Amino acid sequence: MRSVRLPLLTAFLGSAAIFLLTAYAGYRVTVKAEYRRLQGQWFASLDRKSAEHLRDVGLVASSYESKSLAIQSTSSSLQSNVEDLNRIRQTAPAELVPVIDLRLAKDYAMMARLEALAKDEAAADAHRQRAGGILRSLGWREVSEDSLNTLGDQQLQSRLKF
Amino acid sequence: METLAAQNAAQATSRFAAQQFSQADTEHARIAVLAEIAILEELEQSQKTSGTKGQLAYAYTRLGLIDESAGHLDKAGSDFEQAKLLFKRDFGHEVTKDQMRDALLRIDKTSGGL
Repeated sequence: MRSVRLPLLTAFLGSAAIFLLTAYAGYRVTVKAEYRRLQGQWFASLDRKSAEHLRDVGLVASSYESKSLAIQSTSSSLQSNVEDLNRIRQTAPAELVPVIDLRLAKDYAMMARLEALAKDEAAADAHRQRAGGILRSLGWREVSEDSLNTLGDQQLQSRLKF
Repeated sequence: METLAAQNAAQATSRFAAQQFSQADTEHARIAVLAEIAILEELEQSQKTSGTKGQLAYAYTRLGLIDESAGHLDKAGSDFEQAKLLFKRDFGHEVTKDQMRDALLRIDKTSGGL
């Protein structure tokens, strides 16, 4: 009897596991589809093109804002944020590209300060150059090494990194 | 979620415009403020203006200050007039251009600039 029960039990548990996994996957797909449907109704009082544009701006801005809140003053957090921002930037609406660029410049300025503290001047300089290049493209009047260091320090000290 | 997306769109573009106003040359600052105004006006049309009261008035004030510093005085005048109308609509009382400018500079200083 015992030798019959074990395969039956295993088969039952296996079937239960497959059922639960399938149900969970189905639930995830349904929730995602429903969310997309609701999202499609955002700003419905506008014409289709304007509603779509505002949805795109709203979604990218939400992603950007939540990432800004999560940044920590560590090299790994900043590096991860830079990678995420570059990904978001590729498909961001035009008016948000400079907003993302400014965040990138600030992250590079912070990374430069952290590298300087770790005595890696070459890495610090490379990050500072990136920050300076972006800020110049944004029309910033003051992008000297001192001002970039000040920007990096202020950002590192600030709890909310906007 | 829709309201949160609208608020984030307004905040991200407003904060950027304030920083560009403080740090960038006139042309780049102007582009940033115009982008902010475009988003805020779209949000007004969609009636998703929760949390953005007064922002459009301040954006037009900022635009007026930029146009003024660039020497476009007629344009600056019409920006300030628009700002005053919007301020009265949102807060119910008249203000002068100087009051709007001072209020904007106070807000920028409080929000930390960089």
